[in-house]
Amino acid sequence: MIQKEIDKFLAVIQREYRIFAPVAQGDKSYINEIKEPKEVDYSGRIPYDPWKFLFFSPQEVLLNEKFKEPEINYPKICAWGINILDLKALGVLDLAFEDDPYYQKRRENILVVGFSVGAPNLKNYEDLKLFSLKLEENVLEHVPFDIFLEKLADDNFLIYSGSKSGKKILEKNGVKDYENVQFAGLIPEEGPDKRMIELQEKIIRSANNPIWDKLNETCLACGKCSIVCPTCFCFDINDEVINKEKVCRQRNWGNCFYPEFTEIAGGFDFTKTVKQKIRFWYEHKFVRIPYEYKVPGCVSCLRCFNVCPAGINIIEVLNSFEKSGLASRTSSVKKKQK
Amino acid sequence: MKNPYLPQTVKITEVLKEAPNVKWLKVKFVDNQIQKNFYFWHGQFAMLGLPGFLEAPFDICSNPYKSTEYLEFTIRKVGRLTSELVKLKQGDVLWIRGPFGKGWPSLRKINKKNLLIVGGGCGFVPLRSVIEEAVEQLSVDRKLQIFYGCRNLEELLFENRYSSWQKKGAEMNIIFSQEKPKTKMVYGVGCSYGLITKLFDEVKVVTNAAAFLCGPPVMFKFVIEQLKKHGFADDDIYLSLERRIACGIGICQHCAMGDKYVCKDGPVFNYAEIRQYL
Repeated sequence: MIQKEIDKFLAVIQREYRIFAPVAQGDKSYINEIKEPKEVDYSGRIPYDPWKFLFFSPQEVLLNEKFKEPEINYPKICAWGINILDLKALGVLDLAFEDDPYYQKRRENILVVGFSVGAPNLKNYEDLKLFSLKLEENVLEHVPFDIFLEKLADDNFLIYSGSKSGKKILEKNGVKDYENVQFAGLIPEEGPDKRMIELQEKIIRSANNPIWDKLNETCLACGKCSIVCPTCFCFDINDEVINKEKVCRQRNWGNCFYPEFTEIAGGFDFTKTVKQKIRFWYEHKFVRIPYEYKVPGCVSCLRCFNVCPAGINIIEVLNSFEKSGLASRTSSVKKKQK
Repeated sequence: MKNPYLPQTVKITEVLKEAPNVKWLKVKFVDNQIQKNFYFWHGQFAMLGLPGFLEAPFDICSNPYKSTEYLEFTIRKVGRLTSELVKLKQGDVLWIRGPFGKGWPSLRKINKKNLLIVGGGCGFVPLRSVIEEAVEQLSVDRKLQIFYGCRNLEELLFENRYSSWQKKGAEMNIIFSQEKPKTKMVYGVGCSYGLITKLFDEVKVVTNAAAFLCGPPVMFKFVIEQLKKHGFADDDIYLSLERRIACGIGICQHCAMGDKYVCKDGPVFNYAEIRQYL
């Protein structure tokens, strides 16, 4: 397929779905609702904001005024042009909210259209490679999507279907030249990532690692990383009091850097210091998510680094953990301080 | 799809003032069918809430054998929600989700024959359901020893249960940390003055036993030291932990601790599993 046909296909989908896609603004790309197919940014660069707000609403009503689950007609949304890293993150959300009726109902109405243009278009791609990004031959089998577009060097697009609904939409629109990919779960055939398992072990045992002391000095605990992280899904539950008789219960995005996140009644806080907070955040990504879902809780999109006012680069931090080993745990940090 | 966030209503059938800021509530599900099919394991918790005041985790402190008839909670006024909960009267309604989590291990499955229970302050609440169950299973060669540390006489919890527990064979000891008791016995239980660790020197500690503890974080450290001195192995020690909890099903992250969730993997943990986090 050529670009013109892709645009035409998108226009057809738009008759049924609201379309959200990466849109270029200056040197960055943001996820916006689009009106015209030509607004889409096909550069392959990772959008500044995460896709998660479409799938996991920043605020949603859990219980209505009668304290029952509200009846909601979730909008039909097409997330158009999600890159591979963000599809991996979506896979994590899908697992975390597997038994969540609110997430699942919203998710059922979202058409996921993946996109890649070879490697992510980032200056520090070399850094990315150090972490987890191997553009495996069969990567598409391990990320969730309905339709996937692969832009080739000659500007032609290859089309893949990854679900029944994706297939149906392609067929309905006369797209015959596509390949079907069977989703085989997030974990690759050769088993869970070895580096992930090593890091998990190191971070569990890192209580006395001076890397945390260094982060304690640099991190401002502003929580921006958590907001943009595509795999951060913690939440608070809040009661919205409309008046004495009318109260509804809501779920809002949480942020483990904010005060009170781990505070119990009476005032005791289990993550009082910046060091404890940032460790808590790393533990979610590199200990708890791998432990529960056997996939890394970081897809190396580097959004956290892009927004961090203190310039903390998660890949560098992981590398120092990796180098620190269990026996000679101080070496890498000392080198950096020089 | 089952909705884990959907609470049910329970009605208060009895209220008792346990201590100056502590109320004991006995509740029944408004929907009789739910009550008839309700089961919990000793040491599990439920989310109790009131519209406008949110929810928080509370241990179910009644006898698990009575779960299909009623539930009991003991609530201390410490925050916004508990300030409302302690105001409730007989006939009032509150909202409940649960039960959640992993409670105390089965008394038949612990490696040791005997049981030592150590509770400090409000930490005595989660231990009550296990005491109620354990006293039903005591025999000549199956002992239950209870160490209970409390601020003063006024703050004592469940004093109306002590004689029943002792009659069934439990050996109980109380120690007051703030006020020296005027008598050697309170409510038929021997008592002394000092920190809970002092009991380990004053009383002959039961041997061949598993230990179940609950209390403020600072108590764990010193009690565990004493237990080790008395020959308890790490994996014979169990603790019930307190954390902030929003979902109760291991997703929201508020109660996370390393690779564990207190709401799902706990609130009761084997000490050997979590010693690195204490």
